[in-house]
Amino acid sequence: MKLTPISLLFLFLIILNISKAEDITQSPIAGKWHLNSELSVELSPWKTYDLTITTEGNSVTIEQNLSWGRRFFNSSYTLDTTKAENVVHIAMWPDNRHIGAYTYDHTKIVHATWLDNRRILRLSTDLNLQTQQGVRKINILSDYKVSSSGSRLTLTELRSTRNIAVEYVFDRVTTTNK
Amino acid sequence: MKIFTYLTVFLAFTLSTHAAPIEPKKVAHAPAEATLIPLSENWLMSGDVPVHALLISLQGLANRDYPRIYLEYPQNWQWEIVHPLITFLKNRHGVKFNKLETDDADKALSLYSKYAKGCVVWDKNVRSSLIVAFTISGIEDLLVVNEDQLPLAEKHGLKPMIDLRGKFTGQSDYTIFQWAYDKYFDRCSRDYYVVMGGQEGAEMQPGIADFGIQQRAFFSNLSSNPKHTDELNLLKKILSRQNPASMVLGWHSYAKDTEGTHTSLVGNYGLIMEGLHNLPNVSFTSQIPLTPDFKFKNNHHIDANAKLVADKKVYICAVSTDSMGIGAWTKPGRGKIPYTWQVLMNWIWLNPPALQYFYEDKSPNDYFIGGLSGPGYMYPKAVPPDKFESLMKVSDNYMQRLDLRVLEIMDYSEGNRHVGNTDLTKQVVDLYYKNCPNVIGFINGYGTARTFDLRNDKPMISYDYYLDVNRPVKEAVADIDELIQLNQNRPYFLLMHIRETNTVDKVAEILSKLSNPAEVVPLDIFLKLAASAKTYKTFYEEDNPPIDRNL
Repeated sequence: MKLTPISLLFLFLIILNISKAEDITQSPIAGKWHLNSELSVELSPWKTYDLTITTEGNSVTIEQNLSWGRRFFNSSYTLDTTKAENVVHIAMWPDNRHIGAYTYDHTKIVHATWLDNRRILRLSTDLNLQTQQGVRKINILSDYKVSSSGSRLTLTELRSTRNIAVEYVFDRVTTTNK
Repeated sequence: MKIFTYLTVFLAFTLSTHAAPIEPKKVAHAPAEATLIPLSENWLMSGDVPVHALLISLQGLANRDYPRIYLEYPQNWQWEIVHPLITFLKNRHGVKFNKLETDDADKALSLYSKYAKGCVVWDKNVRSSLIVAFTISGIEDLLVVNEDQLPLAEKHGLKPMIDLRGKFTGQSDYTIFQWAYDKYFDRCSRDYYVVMGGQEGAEMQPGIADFGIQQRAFFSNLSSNPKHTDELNLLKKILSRQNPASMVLGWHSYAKDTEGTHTSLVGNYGLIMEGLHNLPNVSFTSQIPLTPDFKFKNNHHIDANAKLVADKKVYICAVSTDSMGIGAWTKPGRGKIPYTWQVLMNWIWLNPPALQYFYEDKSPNDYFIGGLSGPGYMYPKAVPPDKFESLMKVSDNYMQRLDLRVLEIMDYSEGNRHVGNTDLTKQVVDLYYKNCPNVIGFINGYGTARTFDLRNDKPMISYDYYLDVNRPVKEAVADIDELIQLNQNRPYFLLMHIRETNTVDKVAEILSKLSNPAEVVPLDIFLKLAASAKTYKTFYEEDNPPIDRNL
C-alpha cells in the first residue's frame, strides 16, 4: 500500500492526538501523598494529612483526609481545568487554624490551571468566610508542585488575608513506604 | 393570700439555699503542725501506685476531722501549685511541716494507723478493684492495701477486714461497680461522687481520692459512652440519686468516653463537676480557713457601672483558663502584659488556701474571672432550665464572694472546636442574662466560638482565637494578623484563649510582633469598650446546627 501525502498527514495528526491525550492523563501530581510534618507548617488541630490526586482528561480529583484521634475531615472534589469556575460544596473550612472564621455558604469557587507540562497544578479559590463582623470574601492561590524526582509534593497556599504563605510538604506513598 | 406569699418566699429561699453544695467544715485555724509525705514520680500500677494508694487512703482517714497529712506530690504533677502551696501554708498560715522520707508508709502508719479500723485488700490483677477499695475505705474506715502490703499493715495492727482478691477476676467494670453499688452505695455520700478516671490501664493518678475517702464518696470510672449501655445506665442511676447541685469530683476515663459526653451527662442531672482527678490534698486544704486578715479582692480597672468609649482600633484581650493550677501561673512572664485568669469558683470552699495564694500572688496585670459556665465545669445546653437557675444562684453567690464580675461560658455538648457546634442558643443566652444580674459581661468558648450579643451594656463576646500549646510564634503572629485583616471594621474586639501551658512570655512575644497596631487591655476594660461600639454581629446557634456528640 502506498501512503499518499494526505494519508501521511492524517496519520501524523492521529499520532499527535494520541500523544496529546497521554499528556492530559499523565501528571506526576497523580498519586497518594502523606504529609511530612517535619517539613510542613504546624497542622493543629490536625495531626495527619493525606492527599489522593487523580487526573483523567481535563479533570483532576483531589481527595483530602485530615485527622487527629477520633476527629476526621474527609472531602473529595473534582475540578474541570477547562472551566473558568468550578463550584465545590464544602462541609467546613479545614484550613482554619483556630481562628474565628467559618465557611459561610458551604461553597467555594475554584479555577484550576496546569503549568509546566502538568508538573504544577494551580488553583485559585474564592470563598466567603463568616467572622464576628460579618461575611468576608477571601481568595486562596494554591500551587501543587511535584519535585523533579516525583517523590515529593509541595503545596504552597497564599491567602489574600494572610501575610505569610502556608506550606505543606508531602511524600509520595509507595508500596514500600505505605 | 399573705400566708401564701410568705410560704412561697420561704419555699424559694429553702430551695435556693439547699441547692448549694454542702461545704466541709473548717477548723478554727490551720494546724500548727502537720506531716508532709513526699510521693515519688512513679504512678504505674506495677510501680508505686500501691504505696501511693495506701498513703492517700491514710490521708483521707487521718484528715477526716482535722488536717494532719499533706502529700508532697512530685514536681511534674499536673496540678503544679502543690509545691508553692506548701510554702504558702508555712509562711501565711504558720503550718510547721514534719517531713517524712519519700513514700515512707511505715513511718506514716506509725503516726496515723489509729485512724483506720483495719484494711481492705485490693486485687493486683484487677485494676478496678482499687477503685472499689477507695469506696470501701471511706465507708468502713479501712486502709487500702494490696497483698504485698499486708505484713506492713499487720505490723501496725491493721487486719484485713475486706478482701477483694479473686473476687472480680474476669468480670467487667459494669459487674464490678454494680456489686459495689449494691453493697455500699446506700451508705455513701449524696453530696460527692468520684469518677476515678483520667489515665487508664497501667497508670493511675488518684490525687482526689483522699477527699473522696474523707467524704465517704462512691468511686467508679463508669463510662458515659452510649456504646457502653450497662455502664451508662448504672452511672445514670448513681447521678440521679445524688443531691441537687451536688459535686462530681474527678475526671472521665480517657479510655472509655470523652470529656464532652461525661460533662454533658453530669449537666443533665444538674450536678456540679470539679474536673481534675489528680487534684491533691483536698482533705487537708478544704478544712483550712482563709486567714482572718484576708479578703478576696480582684484587680478591677473600672467601676462596674462606668462607661467607656472605644476608639477606632484593634483591642486584644488574653485569657488563660484550664484552671489556674495547671496553667502558666508559675511560668515566666506573668505580670508583663494584662492577662485574665479563670478562677474555679468551687475552690472558695474546696480549696480556700489555694485561692488565697492566687489572690495574694497576683500581679497588677492579673485579672480574675469566674468559670466555667457556672459554679463548676458545665455545659449550659445540657442542663435542664429549672436546674440551671438554681446552679446560677450558687454561681452568683460565689462570684460576689470572690469579687468576680465576668463569667466565662463553654459548651461542648454538641461538638467541639472543630466539629459539630459550640454555639449557645438564644434560650441559653437569655438564661445567662436573666440569672447573672451582677456581671459586666460574658465571654464564651474554649476554641473559637460564634455567639455574640450585647444587652444592657453587657456584652457576650466569644473567643476569636485559640492559642494551641504547640503553635509556633511566627504562625500565631500570622493568625492574629489575619484575624485583624478579616475583621476590617474598627474597633475590632479580639478575644484570645491561651491554652494551658503557653507562657505569658510567649503571648507577650506574639503580641509584640503583630504587623497591625493593637492595644492589649484587661478583660473588664475590653468588655466596657465592647459595650460602647457593637461592631460584632449578634449570633446564636442556628436552626438545625451540625451536631457531634464527641463520641
